[in-house]
Amino acid sequence: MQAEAKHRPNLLGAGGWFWAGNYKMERYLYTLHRVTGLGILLFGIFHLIETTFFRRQGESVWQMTTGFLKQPLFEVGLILVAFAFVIHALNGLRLILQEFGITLGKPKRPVYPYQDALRRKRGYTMLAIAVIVILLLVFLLNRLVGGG
Amino acid sequence: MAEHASKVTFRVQRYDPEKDSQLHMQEFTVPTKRGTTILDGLIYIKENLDSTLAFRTSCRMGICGSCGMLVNNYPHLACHTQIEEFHSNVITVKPLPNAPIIKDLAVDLMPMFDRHKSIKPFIIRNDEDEMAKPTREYEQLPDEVEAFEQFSYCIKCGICVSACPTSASDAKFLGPQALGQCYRYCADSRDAGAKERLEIADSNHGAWHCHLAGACSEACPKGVDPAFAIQLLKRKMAVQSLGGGRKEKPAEIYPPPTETKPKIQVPPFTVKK
Amino acid sequence: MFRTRLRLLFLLSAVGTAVFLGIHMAVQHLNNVLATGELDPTSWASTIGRATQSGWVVIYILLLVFALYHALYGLRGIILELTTSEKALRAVNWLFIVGGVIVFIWASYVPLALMSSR
Ligand code: FES
Repeated sequence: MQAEAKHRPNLLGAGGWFWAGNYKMERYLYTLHRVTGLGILLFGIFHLIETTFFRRQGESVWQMTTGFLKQPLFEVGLILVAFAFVIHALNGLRLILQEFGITLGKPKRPVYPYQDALRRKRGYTMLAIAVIVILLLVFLLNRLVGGG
Repeated sequence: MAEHASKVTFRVQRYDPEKDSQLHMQEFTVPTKRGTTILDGLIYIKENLDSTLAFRTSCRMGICGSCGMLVNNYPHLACHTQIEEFHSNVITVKPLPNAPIIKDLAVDLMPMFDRHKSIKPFIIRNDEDEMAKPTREYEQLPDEVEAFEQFSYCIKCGICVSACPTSASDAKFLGPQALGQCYRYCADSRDAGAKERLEIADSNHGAWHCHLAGACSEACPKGVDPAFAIQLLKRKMAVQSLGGGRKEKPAEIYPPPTETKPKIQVPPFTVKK
Repeated sequence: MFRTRLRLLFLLSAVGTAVFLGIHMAVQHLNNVLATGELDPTSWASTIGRATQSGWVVIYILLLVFALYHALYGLRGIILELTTSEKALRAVNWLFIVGGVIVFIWASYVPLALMSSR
């Protein structure tokens, strides 16, 4: 046991959420899911403060607040939050289905070259991504139609 | 095909707990030909260039799970991976991440083995007498074997744990290896221990901290697909937590014990001895 | 199976959040594409217009419940993956339970008060 104390810890830590080797797409979807989730949460905190404390103070304060928030920086942030929502919601839906093995098929005897269930049924993941991209474009279109 | 000998550079991560405070890379030139594996290269280095290089190997045929390491930033079994595959003259070899380094490329897999043990990786039954002194086989149909067979090929090399993002930050996380094996035993029709095992997987650092990044299954050198097993485990847990779950009994012994009929009485001898 | 039940609630609240936040997002971000006739959904008139309709208030409160649980349980999971300390985890548990209840009461009181004051 004494010798064990000398072993050099080699956990990748939170950095390992982002990179641990050259893996395929799904591992980065995981990262994206986490980042978008945290982003929405951060926005949600400010949003709750805005819509409770500020709104309660009546029309003029509200108009001042929304007026202040009509800056390119916040506008871009708002679009990013909408994008994050689309990504998180649809990727989350995919995850819920896959987490219960619904779209993953049945266990099979491994035959070389091995292919795992997630890659065998990647079509569902690609479908989710396609819907995400279309919705992102719709959200973007709304901005363009509205003149920004 | 012509055997063409060439040379590749091995960049190997070194760390000697007695001497080094930092990890560092060391370069070696290794002759290769068609079919040379990463392990062959390391053995060449150890025999000819630097005998202090430490790595672990045993079967050199992808069966013992000793030689997992990070080769060109992807985990491989060194014995199972040919240098040719990389189409590169430089091969970077590092120890598997997410496991403590003992020396150079040898990592400590004990934490993983402990987690593996914690999920009770054996058939649990209620007929203790039969388990202790088996009289017959347990009945199992081909379909029932297929439900877990894939997951039973695990060689405990630690590659899935090195790939997993949750294992990267959470030292207590059961990890793809243990959770995959947890399902392997729960899915076995001979087993009656699902209830206790699912409780273990239900712990704070258990199955629900798998977020299906799928890297474990991608990297698994045996095609075990631990990510798939964990998702099926989650389904089992969800069903059980809602009061469902397997109601039928685990497989019976086969052929079933029968009452032995009394032997037919031999008629008495009619001829006097 | 306690954590599995919590986790199932987490997934249920994910679906709930997706639905109600989807409605919210459509109103706020798709006003032109869907031709809702709303020029600026964040204007005072527009927000108060919604705040006085009980249907909208119900939607917002349901969104609050689902999103709050989903967010706090999700964040707890992430924190749990960063620390092995049981003490820290217990502190986070209580902080989130108490904090969650306070935020819920406050953030559902505001629209209700706004609605009843009109
Ligand atoms: S030496 Fe046994 S798996 Fe590579």
